[in-house]
Amino acid sequence: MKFQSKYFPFIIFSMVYLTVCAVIYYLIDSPFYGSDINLVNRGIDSPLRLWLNGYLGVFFGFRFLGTLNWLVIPLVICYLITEKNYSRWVSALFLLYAVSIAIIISQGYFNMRYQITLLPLTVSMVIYFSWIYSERSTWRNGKYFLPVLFFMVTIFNDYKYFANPDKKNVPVQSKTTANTKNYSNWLKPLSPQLLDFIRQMPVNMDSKMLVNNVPFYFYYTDLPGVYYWCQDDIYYDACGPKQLMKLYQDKALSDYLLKELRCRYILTIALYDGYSQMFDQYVTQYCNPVYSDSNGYRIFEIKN
Amino acid sequence: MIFLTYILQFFLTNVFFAAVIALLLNRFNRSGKYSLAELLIYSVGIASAVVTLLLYYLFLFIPRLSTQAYFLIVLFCFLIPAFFLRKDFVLFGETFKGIKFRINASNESKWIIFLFVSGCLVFFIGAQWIIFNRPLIEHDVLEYGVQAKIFFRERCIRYVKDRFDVETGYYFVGLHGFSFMLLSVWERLCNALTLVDKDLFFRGITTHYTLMIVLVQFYWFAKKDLILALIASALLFASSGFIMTAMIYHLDTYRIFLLMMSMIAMLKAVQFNDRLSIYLFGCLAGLSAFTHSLNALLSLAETGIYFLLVNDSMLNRIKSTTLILILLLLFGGVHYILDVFWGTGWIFKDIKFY
Repeated sequence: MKFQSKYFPFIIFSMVYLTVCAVIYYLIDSPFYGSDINLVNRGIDSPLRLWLNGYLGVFFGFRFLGTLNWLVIPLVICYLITEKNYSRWVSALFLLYAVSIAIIISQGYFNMRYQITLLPLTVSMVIYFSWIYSERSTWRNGKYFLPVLFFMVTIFNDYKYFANPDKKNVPVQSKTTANTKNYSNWLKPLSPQLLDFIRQMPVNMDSKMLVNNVPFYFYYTDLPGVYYWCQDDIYYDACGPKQLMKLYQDKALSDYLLKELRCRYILTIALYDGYSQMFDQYVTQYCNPVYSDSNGYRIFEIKN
Repeated sequence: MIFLTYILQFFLTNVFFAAVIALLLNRFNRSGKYSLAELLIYSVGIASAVVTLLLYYLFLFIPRLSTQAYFLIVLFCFLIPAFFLRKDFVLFGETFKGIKFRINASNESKWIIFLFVSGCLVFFIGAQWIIFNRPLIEHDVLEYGVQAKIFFRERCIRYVKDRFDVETGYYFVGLHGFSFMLLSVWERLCNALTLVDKDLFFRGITTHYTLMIVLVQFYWFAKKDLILALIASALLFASSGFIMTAMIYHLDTYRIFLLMMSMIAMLKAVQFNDRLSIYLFGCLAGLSAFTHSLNALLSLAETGIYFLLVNDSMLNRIKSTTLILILLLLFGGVHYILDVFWGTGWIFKDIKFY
């Protein structure tokens, strides 16, 4: 009986925690079937995943935020129920937390970077409240039990999403493409040969580079270009964004690029393959490849 | 020379400027609600943000001066208060003695501090290795970097509907405050003096503020229990999102740190309603807003919650909240007003969210 009363709350807490985590893993790791690559990459391609990784991603976005965050909900509710008098700053903290969550859900549900805003605060609240509840237990070392459990699950989560060699670099399948890449490809280095190659190219105001959303071109060189993003089919000039490939196709597009925009070259990266079929087809049929490297960076010259 | 420039810039900004800010804040600390150690930790984080704010106003109101002139003006903005506060510098010695005394109080605390400091040192050394070996390649940080390059070249900030650079054809689509970009401008101003062409300081922002977030968390948890503080930092460091945020060059740790600071100051202002907490809250809410639109919205929410929950008469609440709003605007929030009426339209323009 004594054994039961001493360890019982910790066992129940651990079982609930692990069960909820297992259910969430099952739901968010179900096969992808979205048609928008961007949504697939952001893990919000199905209605269920939109809720778990998107709107409620602050709590259940396990891939980017870990498994601890959702615990803040039961722990804070428990605190509000059990504590009769709490300081003014605690009320302010809870209200601020609720308002911040509401703002992040409404303005940033689509972006894990926005969801991560409250991560240090959420993790701190979870650890603090679980610690003070553990301290009230009759089990003397109970307060170390939950941190150890949290640590083990956190390490498992990191391994599952970032270190598991079988899962790493496996292409994400979607309806529109078979080769969508995950975010780890952002970390591919920029080779010095690429920059040297670009710098010795005859790029000038009459032979500019159409830069497909790879801003390193503007950062590492002072050469002129036209900034373009193939998925939205938008290029930018002094008047703002304008459509390109939806207005001009094939040879007419080449003429527009060469004569109006004064672009002779196109810089892109394999990471964007599949984002725009129009763009992919155009560079294959109407351009000559002049550079490509193992990191996927490619330069094309537009045929006359 | 590259290494020397980086070290000098790091110490000038994060040590000297931070020390001046800490002593300045300490002068307002009449109620003694803040220890100098606490103010110093906060100041190490906010010194860079204050530099960007100075550069923002300089580029806005006194554009196109020489690079040396901007560097010297910023330097003098800290040298002048440092001269008047020169006698206070001995306070740091007393603070460090106090910290040493607390650490030596028990064997357990010695070990915990040793473990925490070792962990931070390992991260710091690893971070320096990354900074020296991995260039900026991430999409978002490069976009900020290019706009910083343009600000530096023009040495001027204008509010325009479309942020298009005629010389290069670059178009900046970002709608956030300029604080992060101006950190790169600050580095370029320092580099111009030593004729160095590197971006180590800008690369280091991510890891520097990762450490600052962990340090602030440790400081607050250590008030309750040192073991709890160590556990909390270890768990935060182990979270996948935090690791990713720490390893990829971006503004996230910078803006999250300033948001955390403004939240702490708001909670202190609600609890104590003392003058320093109110000033700090207003300034930090502004600096936080200046980094990102999301922080700007959250800073406004913080101000509203302060107004609702502070224990004071209605008249005093209105007075202190007005003061906070003025400080919020002066310390960076004004950017969004200018951007709405004379610039891009900020979040009121038609945005595709991904």
